[in-house]
Parts: sequence; C-alpha cells; structure tokens
Amino acid sequence: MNESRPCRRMLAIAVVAALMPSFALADVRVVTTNPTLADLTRQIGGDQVRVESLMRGPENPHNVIPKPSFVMKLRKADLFVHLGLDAEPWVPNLLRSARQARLLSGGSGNIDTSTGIALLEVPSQGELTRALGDIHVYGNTHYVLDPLNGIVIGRTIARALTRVEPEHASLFDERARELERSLRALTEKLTQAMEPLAGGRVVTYHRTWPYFLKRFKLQKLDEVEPKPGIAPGPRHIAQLAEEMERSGVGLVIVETFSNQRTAQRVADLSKGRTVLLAQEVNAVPGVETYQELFRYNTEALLAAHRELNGTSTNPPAAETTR
Amino acid sequence: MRSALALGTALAVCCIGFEAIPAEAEEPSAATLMENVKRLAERVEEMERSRTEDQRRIRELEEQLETDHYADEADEASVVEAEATASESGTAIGQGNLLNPAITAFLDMGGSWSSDKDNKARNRFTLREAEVDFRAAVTPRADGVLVIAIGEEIEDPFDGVEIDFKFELEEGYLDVHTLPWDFALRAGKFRSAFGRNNLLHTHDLPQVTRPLAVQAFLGPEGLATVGASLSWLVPNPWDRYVELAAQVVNADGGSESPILIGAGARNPAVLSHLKLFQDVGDTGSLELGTSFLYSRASGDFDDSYVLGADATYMWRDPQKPDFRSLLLQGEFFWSRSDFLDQFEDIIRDDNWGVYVFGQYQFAQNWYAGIRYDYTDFPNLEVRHQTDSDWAISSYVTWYLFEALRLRLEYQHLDRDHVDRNDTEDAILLGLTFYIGAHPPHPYWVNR
Repeated sequence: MNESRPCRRMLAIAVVAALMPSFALADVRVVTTNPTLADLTRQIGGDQVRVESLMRGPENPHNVIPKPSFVMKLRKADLFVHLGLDAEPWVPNLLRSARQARLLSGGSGNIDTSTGIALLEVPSQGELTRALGDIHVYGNTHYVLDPLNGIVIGRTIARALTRVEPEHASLFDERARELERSLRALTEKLTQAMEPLAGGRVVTYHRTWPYFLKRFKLQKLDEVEPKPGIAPGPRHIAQLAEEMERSGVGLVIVETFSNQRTAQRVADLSKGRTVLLAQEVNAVPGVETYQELFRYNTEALLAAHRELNGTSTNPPAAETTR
Repeated sequence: MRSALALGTALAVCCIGFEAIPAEAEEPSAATLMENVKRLAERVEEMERSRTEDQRRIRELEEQLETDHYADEADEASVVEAEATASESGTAIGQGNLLNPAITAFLDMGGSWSSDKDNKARNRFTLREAEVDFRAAVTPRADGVLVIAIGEEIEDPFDGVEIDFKFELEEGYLDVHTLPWDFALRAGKFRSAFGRNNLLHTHDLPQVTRPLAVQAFLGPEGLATVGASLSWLVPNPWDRYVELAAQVVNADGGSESPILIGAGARNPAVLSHLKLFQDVGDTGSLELGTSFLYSRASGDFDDSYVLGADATYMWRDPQKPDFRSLLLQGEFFWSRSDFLDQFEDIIRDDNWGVYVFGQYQFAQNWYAGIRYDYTDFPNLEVRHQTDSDWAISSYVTWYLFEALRLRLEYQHLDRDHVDRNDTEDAILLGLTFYIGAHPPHPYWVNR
C-alpha cells in the first residue's frame, strides 16, 4: 500500500510542474476588433500580453460577420479593445453573446480607443438621416489613420493594461512614451517626405481618409462613392472623372474593401491612377505594424505621384477655388 | 522665448564688459589678465550650459503644447456634445426620450404571378408584414425586446377569400444575456431554438418564402410561444463553441404550431437545441445542430415529438470578403405521433421534411441561390396523412442600399394531395426595407 504513495507524490509534483509554466506566463489576454489595434496593443504590452484580432486586415470594419468562434476568443479575454463610436456595429451583439460581464460596455475590460480622440466630420443633429448614406452619427470613425492619434490610443491601452497588471505599470508607461517618440519622429519624417504632394488634392473611394489627409496636408476633391456605403452609378463616375480632369487631380485612393474595378474605371476615365492604401494593419502584404502602415501609404502615394507626373517633381496644382 | 535668451546673453556680455573696462584702466599685470580671461571662459561655459538647458526646456514645452492641443480638441468635442445634449433635453424632446429603446421598423411586401388561378392569395400584390422592433437594456446584463408585427392574413384562399391585417406580438421577452458560468436566460414570448430557419423573422429570410418543412412542422411563420429558455456555453477541452439550449414553452398558445396543436398537446412542451460551431480555414465556418421538441400525451394523442438536424456552411473570399461568399444550409425534420382513429385503433404517424439551399454572392450587392424543399404534413388538420409537397426555387437578391432589398424568385411547387396532384409555377417578388436603428440578425444572414 505504502509503495504507491511516492508514486502519487511524484504524480502530484509532475502535475504541479506541468501547471507551473502557465502560472509563470500570467499574460494579459487581449482581444481587439481589428489588426491595427492589435499591433498597438502589442507595442504597449510587449511580452506581457497575448493579443488576438477578430477582424482580418482586408475586411470592411463596418461589415464584419460576428461568428460564434469570436465568442470563444472573447471568453478568455481580460480586455476587449475596440474602436468605439458606431464604427463596428457588430460588436454590441457579439458582446451580448460572449456572456462575460467584464467585457460589456461599461465593464472593466471594455476598452474604447476613441476616448480622447478629436473626431472629424461630426454631423450636426439635423443631418442625421440615411438619406446621407451610411453615415456615422458621432463623426468619422477612421481615426487610427492619423499617426498622432496612435499616441492617444497607446496611452488608453497602457492605462487599461495597468489596471489589469499594476505591477508592470512603469513598463507600459515607458512603452507608451516610446510609441509616442516613435510616432512623432515618423510623422515628422513622413510629413517632410510628403512635401512634394503637400496641398495637393486627391479623390478617395470611401470616406476612410480624412484623418490621414489632414495629417499629411492633402486635400480631398471628392469621393468615388456618391454617399458613404453607396456604390456609384455610371453618371456619377463620368462626372467625377470630368471634375478630376478639370481640376488636374489624378490620384484615386482606394481601400482593400472597396471595389477596385470601379476605382480603376474612374482613374482610366480621368487619365489618373488608383493607389491602393492600407486602411488597416495587415490589409496589404508587408504592412504588419502601425508604423509600417504609414510608411507604406506615404511611399505608395509618392510613387503614384511620381508616375503620374513623369519625372517632374512639381507639386500638383492646388486651385484656390473649387 | 528666443528674444529673452538674446536679451540675457546681451546683459551678460555687458556685465563682463563693465568688469573688464576698469581692469584695463589700471594697466593690469599679465597675471590679472590671465585671471580675467579664465573668468570669462568660465562665464561663457556657464552660459552655454544654461542655453542647452533652456533649449531642452523649450522642446519639452513645445511637445507639451501639442499634446495639450490634442487634449483640448478632445475636450472641446465633448463639451460641444454635452452642450448639444443639454440643450436638447431642455427643449421639446425631453430627458426621458434619451433612454428610449433602439427602434427599427421593417416593411416586407411583394407580389406573385402564378399559374394557379384558383388561389386567391396568388396573382396579386401583398403587404406581407410590417414589423416594429424595440430593444434596450433593462439592466446592465439584461435586454428587453419587443417585436410587434402587423401581417396580412389571407383566410380561405380557395373559396370566399378574406384578406385582413392581423396584429400580433411576435416576440416580447427579457433576455438575460450575461450570467455566471456562461449561462443565459430568456423569458417571455420568443422564437423557439428549433433549427436555424425558425429563428428568423420574415424580413430576414434568405428566400421569399419560408421553407415548406418549417411551415409544416413548426407553423406557417415558424414556432414562437411563451416560455423560458436557458442556454449554456458548454466548456470543453477542445475549446470549441458548443451551446446547449433547453426551453420549456407553452404547447397551446402562440402561433399555429402544427405539431403542438395538431397533436392536441398538453402543457408544457419541452425543446432543446445543441449547436456546434467550427471555423474552417481562414474564412470558412461550419455549424451543426440538432433539435428536439417533445409534447406530452393528451386526449386521443400519445406523446409526440419532432427531431431536427441542421448544417450551415459559410465561406467568404479571403481577398474580397465583401464581394464573394457562399452559403450552404440544410435542415431535416422528423416527427412521430400516435393517436386513436375513429375505430379506437392506435395509428402511428411518422413524417419527415427537408430543405437545402445554396447561395452565392457574385458581386458586392448581389446574391443568387437555389432551394429544394420536400415535406410531409404532421398536422392532420392542415393536410391528409399521406399528403406531401415538394418544390424547387431559384432566386436573385439585390441590395440596392444597406437598408433596401429587392428579391425575385421562381418557384415550382408540386402538391401531392390524397385525391389529386397539382403543380404550380410562380414568380415571386419581394421588396423589403427597414428604417431606424441597424437591426441585429444571425451571422449567416447577409446583412
């Protein structure tokens, strides 16, 4: 009888030993709605977090299908990081299905990154109707596309991580500062690089780019979509192409979730060209971090600009009147 | 800041100058001169240090300014928002309305052009259903849902046709969505968790008509009665989505549910649904489910039950997720009820029904699909024991806008009555839109 005891003890030790690493790696588990927030969380959380994004890069954030498998990811999450506002209409229902009180709106694990962001294109109360297309009632939700907004988001994430793991507070704080330094330097460098395009005008497919354009001193002539979320008809396309030619605007910015063929048609008609930009980390191959997103996008715009203007480095004519 | 620095430098130079001049007048020795030069050098060094320090400080302040500017912008936005809210609550709308539920109104209409000229419900325009959906949080962990439907009711379509609009409380329940240990509770009138299609409201249906088997086994508009439902996300070592729902519902009330009413069931009926969900690759998913509905013996009837099985496969193009997708779904129903016939003999009535459909999204706003239906009739009050129908339908769905949908469907229906066999070819048109809040719907329904 007694012989079995050491055996049991060994087994107990083995079990405890097997469980040890999982205690040692007491990571904060974070689920984000999109890969951009996932990368920012990774930059702040470092080795202390395990991050997973629900959405894939090329997807349209407004049209994500909240599958039951998302529920499984949320169940184990300490934090759920999302864009807030009405950017992701699929989120409230998903949270109800996840059955985790901490992740519900107002819960300790529900992190809304729109906190502290100065929104653009905030509609006035009288404008709120679907006659305007798929508008966002609080303002434009694509605020991650201003690199300096990344600083604010980084701080929000650092605060949230500190709440979960107070012992690493200084680490998260330092990484938020590091992110800030990196983004400030990057913004300065890219703004300089974008100088040849500064003040110039572009056409965008969807209303995705106001934050990006403002930061890099570009102006929007018009959108390919007559109204957000509404596909353009042939007449709108023709009119837009004419307007572009008249104004000497040749660049059509298109995101991965928009209709590339329609964008190409606009570019062909106006003798311009389309530029596929990454509206999200992982939206196009090679864009795996928040910083890479801006590097890629500015390089793509500059390359398209150079191609459009031959070898000349003249800035596009910026008219004072429309 | 810079001018202050310049002024300081000038002052310092002056001070040094004043000290130097009297020294010159006294014709100083080389040693004093050297001393003066050394002092001067020290001063310059000190000034240089303070200048670097000042520059560092300026940089810091500039950075601070920019950050503050961001914070200010954000503050301004929230102030504007707060002001807007305040002014609104002070005037016509009133504070109470700010907590109003999300409201969505749906209108589902259409028409048909059919070879069946005797059916008065065909060859006319119809306003099938108007539905208003209210939902809001009751507590942090529970929502209240109220769905009111006004539907077109066509009585006796083959005889003296009578068309009327019927007002119905389609759903009204408390949804406690977040309970400890992954439980959720629902109480009130709700659509029963039998299979997949039964959970859909008319305006969410992927085709113009509800599958024949769902109509025959669960009711023309599916099964929705008053009761309670407990659902549980079953923990499992494979970390898969496994959901088990158990419901106890009235077997008599609610809509015309053939299996319950037809069997003269006694209260309450019991229903359960097991659902397994699995991602397949990057952008595909498979859902499997089994359902069970049981009602106890009553009157001339013995216990009766319905078994169901369902499968849903969905795929989206990884490169163009908003432009190409595929949906395959099938459901199978089987029921058994024993009853006494007019000679007091026990008659065993087994029935089955099935539907399968495939739907392909070939452009951003376009879907095309085909559905096959077969069903027996478990409700003896509706059709004879040996009757069965089958149908094949193909359809195209076009979303003109997010909230506006047009659907064109061709249906060939073959009815096998006990005494005759007739067929019908029909073209069905459906137009559906909603106004108000963005409504929730199951993940596999387009939008």
